[in-house]
Amino acid sequence: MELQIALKKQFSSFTLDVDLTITQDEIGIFGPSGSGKSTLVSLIAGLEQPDSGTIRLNGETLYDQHTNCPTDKRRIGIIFQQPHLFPHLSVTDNLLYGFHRCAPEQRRIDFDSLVAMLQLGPLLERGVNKLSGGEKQRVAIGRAVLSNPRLLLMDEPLSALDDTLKFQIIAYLKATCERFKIPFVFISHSLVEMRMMTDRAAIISQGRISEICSTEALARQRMAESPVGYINILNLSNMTERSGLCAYNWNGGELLLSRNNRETSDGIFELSSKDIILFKNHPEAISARNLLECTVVGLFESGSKLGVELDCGHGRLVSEIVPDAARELGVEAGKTVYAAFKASAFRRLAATARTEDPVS
Amino acid sequence: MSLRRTKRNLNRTNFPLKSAPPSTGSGLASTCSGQTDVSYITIDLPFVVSLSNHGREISSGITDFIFKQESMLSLSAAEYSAILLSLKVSVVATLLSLPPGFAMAYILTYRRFKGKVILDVIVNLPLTLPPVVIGYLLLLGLGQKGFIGRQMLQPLGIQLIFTWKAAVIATAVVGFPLMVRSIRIGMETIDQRLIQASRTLGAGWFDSMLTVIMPLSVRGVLAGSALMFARGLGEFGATIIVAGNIPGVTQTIPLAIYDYAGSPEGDSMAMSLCLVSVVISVVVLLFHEYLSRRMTRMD
Repeated sequence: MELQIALKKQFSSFTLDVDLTITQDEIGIFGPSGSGKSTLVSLIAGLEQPDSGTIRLNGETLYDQHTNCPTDKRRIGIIFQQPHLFPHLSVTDNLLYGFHRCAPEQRRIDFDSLVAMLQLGPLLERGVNKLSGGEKQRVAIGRAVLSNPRLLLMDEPLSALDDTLKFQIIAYLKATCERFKIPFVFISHSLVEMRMMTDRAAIISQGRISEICSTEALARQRMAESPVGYINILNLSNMTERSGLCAYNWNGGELLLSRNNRETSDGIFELSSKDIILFKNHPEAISARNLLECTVVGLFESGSKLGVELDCGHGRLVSEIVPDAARELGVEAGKTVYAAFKASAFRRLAATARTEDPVS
Repeated sequence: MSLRRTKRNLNRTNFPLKSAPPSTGSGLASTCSGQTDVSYITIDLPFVVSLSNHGREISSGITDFIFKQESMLSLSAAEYSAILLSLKVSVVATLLSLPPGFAMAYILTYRRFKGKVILDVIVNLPLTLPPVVIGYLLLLGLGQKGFIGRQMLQPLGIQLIFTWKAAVIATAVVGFPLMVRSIRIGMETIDQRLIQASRTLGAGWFDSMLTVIMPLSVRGVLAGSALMFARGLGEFGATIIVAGNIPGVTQTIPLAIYDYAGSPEGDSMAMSLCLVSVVISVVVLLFHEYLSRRMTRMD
């Protein structure tokens, strides 16, 4: 996909002035509320007109001073914050709304495989108003995907969902876009969501794109200023209960989590960089239930703090320390340190309200 | 009972001659032979006086009416024709106004253009103008000397004034703003994002209007239709000017009541028609309520 945007739009309070070329198939647009993200989505989809500029998708001009391709001809799908399903249509008719309006030669996504992918089978005959929030959003994803868009814009598709559902929906979104090879632009103000969806993001603030960088670099850069530090995202599986704790498999290694995580055997968990304590030598005994021998991969600066990237054998973690601690520990690339963190320091992303990394 | 009947029948026989309220006889029906010269129209002021004189008789008529129930069950042929004509005029006017009413509501809700305020004012004008003024303006336009009447209707051999079709036009014009307002209220409650979603899914504006806006504004359309139908049953001022008050031809329920109320013996007959009006209005409103409740449950 190649999306070229160079446009200006004046509002009473601020000006949106964007010059952006996107060549990869997955990109995020990250910025605080009111920075112009949603306006940008409306402009790309043709729901609003810029004052001046051009929009090109895969070489086709969608907008310039002579051309204004109408929304319905752009073939750009949107997943909104709210599902916005048609209340007078059944789930099936909602799903097929865009499909029927797509030229037959452009239909490459099959209804049945999409239904299977999003597990919509049991919902098909139900009325739209009888669905739960997460089910509605899954139908909305299906509806947008079945219109066979050239590009899928996701405008904060998770922010109306509670945390339990958020990360379930992310899994569906990611899997669906990968399976059907749909290029997407994911818009969010949550860094954790952004990192789970894409590797690269354009950062927008006050109507301007300031830079395009990797979401990982962005998270590291914001470690010091964020109240929750850097969030390590861990995929854990095969839980077994042992002596009042939950033992999870982490890429072959084992991590101990507190008992309140025992409802499911797999999950995505977050561990803040603030919760990882480093030791120079193996401590004799500590209260924290997780102690890993790690090799320092590298250090990075973030504000007044230092981030230490650790290779734990099974995966990488980032811990944050102050420069004084770094001096005393003598951390440098290649050195061995011991990382300790409590079993209670983990938070299941699907079950906690503290996963958000608000941008202030 | 038998006495009342006779009275009524007597009254009936008078009708073709007695076009307007008692004594004055300056009503419109006498000028209704198709000679549509506007200058012939006079306003029937003495009627107001005669009406107040009849006040006492009317109240005794009500008592008679209540105590002699049997009389209200019997409706004469002229009364039937007035009821049927009222229903016909209202139904046709409502159905005729639906497509332009929907289109106008759509334009006023979703389109942005210069002069929208002016269009809005014009559409709503019949709501605030006295119906008599509307009737007069229609007569000016559609009559033999009017622009539309002379240039468009006459060459086609269409005679509208003082026919039931004129009553339909008058009713349609007077009720149109009610229809547009109700549909607009229905449309304004539709989430903009639903329309945007349909557009991004490949629906053009007309497609979106048919498949999203129309089904979701059904309640407004029904409310508007019911309101306009009910308003149509009560249309008086504009109708009497463009269609006259010809029994069996253009005499709708309100016009018949106007006639009866002006005649000394017409009290019970006026009351019968009043009762019919109330029943029809109640039925329409109940139907409207029932439909909107059903729509709510569907949501």
